[in-house]
Amino acid sequence: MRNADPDVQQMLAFCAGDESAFTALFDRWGRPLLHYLQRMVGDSATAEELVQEAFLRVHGARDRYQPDAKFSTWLYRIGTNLALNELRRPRRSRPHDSADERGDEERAPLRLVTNAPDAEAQFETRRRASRVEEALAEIPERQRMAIWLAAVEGLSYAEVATALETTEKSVKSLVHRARVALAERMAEAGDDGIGGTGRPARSNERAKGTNA
Amino acid sequence: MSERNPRDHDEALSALVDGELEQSEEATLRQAIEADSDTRDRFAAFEAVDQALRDLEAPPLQADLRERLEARIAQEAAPRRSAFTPLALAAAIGAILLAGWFALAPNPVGREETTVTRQGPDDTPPQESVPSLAPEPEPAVEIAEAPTAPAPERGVIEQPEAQPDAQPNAQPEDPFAPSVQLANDAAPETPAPEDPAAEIDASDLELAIAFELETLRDLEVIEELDLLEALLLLEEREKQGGNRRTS
Repeated sequence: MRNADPDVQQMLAFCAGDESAFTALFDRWGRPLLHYLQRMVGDSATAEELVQEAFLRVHGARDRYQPDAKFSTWLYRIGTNLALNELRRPRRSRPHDSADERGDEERAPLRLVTNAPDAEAQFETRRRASRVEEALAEIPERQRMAIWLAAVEGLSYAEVATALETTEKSVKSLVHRARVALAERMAEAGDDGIGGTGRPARSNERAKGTNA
Repeated sequence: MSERNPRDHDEALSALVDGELEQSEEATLRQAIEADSDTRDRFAAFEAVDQALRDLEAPPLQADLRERLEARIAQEAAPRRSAFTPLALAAAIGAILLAGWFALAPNPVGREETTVTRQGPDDTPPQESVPSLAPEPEPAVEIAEAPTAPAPERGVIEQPEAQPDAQPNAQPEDPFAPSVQLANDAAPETPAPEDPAAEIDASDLELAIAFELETLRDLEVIEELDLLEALLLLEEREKQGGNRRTS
């Protein structure tokens, strides 16, 4: 079951000497990991450095890799640890600490992917995203990581628990608290939380407990 | 659903958004959503949060990121040894340098008593020769308490910070000059000196030091001004040592 993950197969191929498999893994996961790390550490340049570092570690693990989990779970675990280390560096200025310190360039990633039919809807969608981004920056880092991995990256609670090195129960609580905090902040900012783009809840669409 | 407290209910709604509820639990909760507008609104708010998060656009992956990664992989694979070598070399050179320094260093005032009690010789002039440099009492005590078993490497390393002042190589009893001291003291349980400087004559040692300083400069371990300063200090000590030898 674990080895059925195609990314694990790619990693195993890389371990067996296929360098192109490593490239494929980077092409597949580089951008999602960058997105995750950018939201966690707050700026693109640092996030890029961390992506490089994460894949350096993947590359360096060639001789000792064990497919204990999905490749993405393992990769996000590496990225999470790097992000936490980065966030604990004392000299680091953290954009997340003060959203006001960020300039327009830092806010540029707010550009949205949306199919809003007109300018007004486009504007409203953008405004809501801006609110949630600011709210995301304000919540505790582990809540931020947990809800991102669960809600955006689609990891199961078991997988998030592996990535964050905690328990599923803790993940459930972290995600819930994050969701409540974000909903409250969005409501305070004037967004009643209704009127999203209509994507349905995932319900049981993904299998639970598939992660090691 | 009435037996649930609001917090449990809320967490279950969150888990429902994530598809983490068992089927039976999900069915029950969906009935509550249908029946209760507050629960429905709460569920909608949670879904809206997720949607807003997913609407955030992923940053583009810089075109050269993969190339930079490959370059770093190549860099880390090959020159790790070469990156380490200068440090190891600098450390070794530093150890030799410091050993030589203290082999040549004059005895500071604070160590005079220790020196006399152990060796009983005559040399008192070094006290006056470096009057401006305050002697550190701690090293003298340390030496007096454990004259026979100072870890040579540690002694060498700790020396320069505590005793930068010079001591003439004419004083074999200097405990900070393990090479010379060991020859005279012949301490029975003193570990054999690992410092290769132990067998180097003073003048050869000075040459070796000058060479190592040049090497350090080449490695940019020390600044040029530091190098000049060190050489001047060496030269001064050489003069002092020469004076003492002649006296």
